[in-house]
Amino acid sequence: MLIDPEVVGRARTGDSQAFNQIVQACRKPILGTIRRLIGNPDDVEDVAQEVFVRVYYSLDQLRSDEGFEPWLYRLTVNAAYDYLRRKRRRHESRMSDLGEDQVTLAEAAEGTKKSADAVRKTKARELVESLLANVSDQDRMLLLLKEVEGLSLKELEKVYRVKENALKVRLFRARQRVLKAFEAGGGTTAAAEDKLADEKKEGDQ
Amino acid sequence: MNEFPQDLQQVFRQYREALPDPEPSVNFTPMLWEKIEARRSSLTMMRRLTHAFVSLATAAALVLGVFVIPQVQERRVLSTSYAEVVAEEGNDAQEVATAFAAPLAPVTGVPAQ
Repeated sequence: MLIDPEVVGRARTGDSQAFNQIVQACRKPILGTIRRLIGNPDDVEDVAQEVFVRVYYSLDQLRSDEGFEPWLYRLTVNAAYDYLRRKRRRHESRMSDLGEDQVTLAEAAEGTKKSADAVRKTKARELVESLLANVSDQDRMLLLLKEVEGLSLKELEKVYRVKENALKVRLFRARQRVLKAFEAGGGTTAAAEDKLADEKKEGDQ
Repeated sequence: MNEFPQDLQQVFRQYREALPDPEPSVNFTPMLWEKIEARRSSLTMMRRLTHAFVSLATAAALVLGVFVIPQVQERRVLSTSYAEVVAEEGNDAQEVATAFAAPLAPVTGVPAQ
C-alpha cells in the first residue's frame, strides 16, 4: 500500500497538503514504473508530472479511496501510452533512446569501468528491450506491469477494468510472441545475449 | 502459458534490478505545482470562453425567435391576398375549360371520306 486511503479522502476534498503527501509517497515508484514503461530516462519526470496533474484534476472521479492505487497505475499507463504515441508521431525511433545504454554496454564490453554484475544487468536491459520490441505498446506495458512491476491478475483487472479471462488471453498472446523472439535467439539467456552482441557488431560496422 | 520459462523470468528480474526507481529531482514537486497552476488557468480560460459562447448563442437564438422569424412569417403571409389566390385559380380553371371546348384541328394527310 503506497498511501493511506484516509489521505486520499482528504485530497479528494481539495486538501493540498494531502495531495502533497500523495505526491511524496508515490512519486518514486511512479517514476520507476514510467522509466520502465517508456524506456527513455530523459522524459520520465515530465510524464510523471503529467500523471500527477491528471490525478489532481480527476480525483473527484475516483470511485473509492481504497481504489486509489490501481487508478494511479491506470493514469500512469495512459500517460505513458500517450507519450509513446506523441513520440511516434514525431517520428522518433524508440531504439535511438537506448543510445546511452548502448554506450554503457560498449564501455562494459571493453572492460573499462564496469563490474561483471553491471554488464549482466545492462545486457538484461538490452535483451528485454529487444524482446519487447516484438509486441505492441499496449502488450509491452501489460507484460511489464505483470512481469516487472509484479502486479497480480486481480490488480491488473482493476487497472485495465477488464475481465480476468480477457487479460489472460492477452497476456498469453503477448508472452507467446516474446517467447518466440526469445527462442529465435537461441532459447537461452546466453544465446539471446550473444545474438544481441552480434546485432550490435553488425550495427557498428 | 501462464508464466514465462525460468530463464526468461530471470531475464525480467535482472531487467527490474537494472532499472531501479530513480530519485526525483529537487524541482519535481515545485514544477508539478507550476503545471497544475498552468492547467488551472487554461481551464479557467476555456470555461470563460465556453460561457461567452453559450451566452452569445442564447442571445442569437432569442433575437431570431422574437424578432426575425415572426417578421419573415408575416411577410410570406401578406405577400399574396385571398383575392389574388382565387383569381389565379380561376385563370387556371378557365384555361382548362377553353382547352377542352376548342374543336380539334383536322389531321392533315388523311383522305376525307
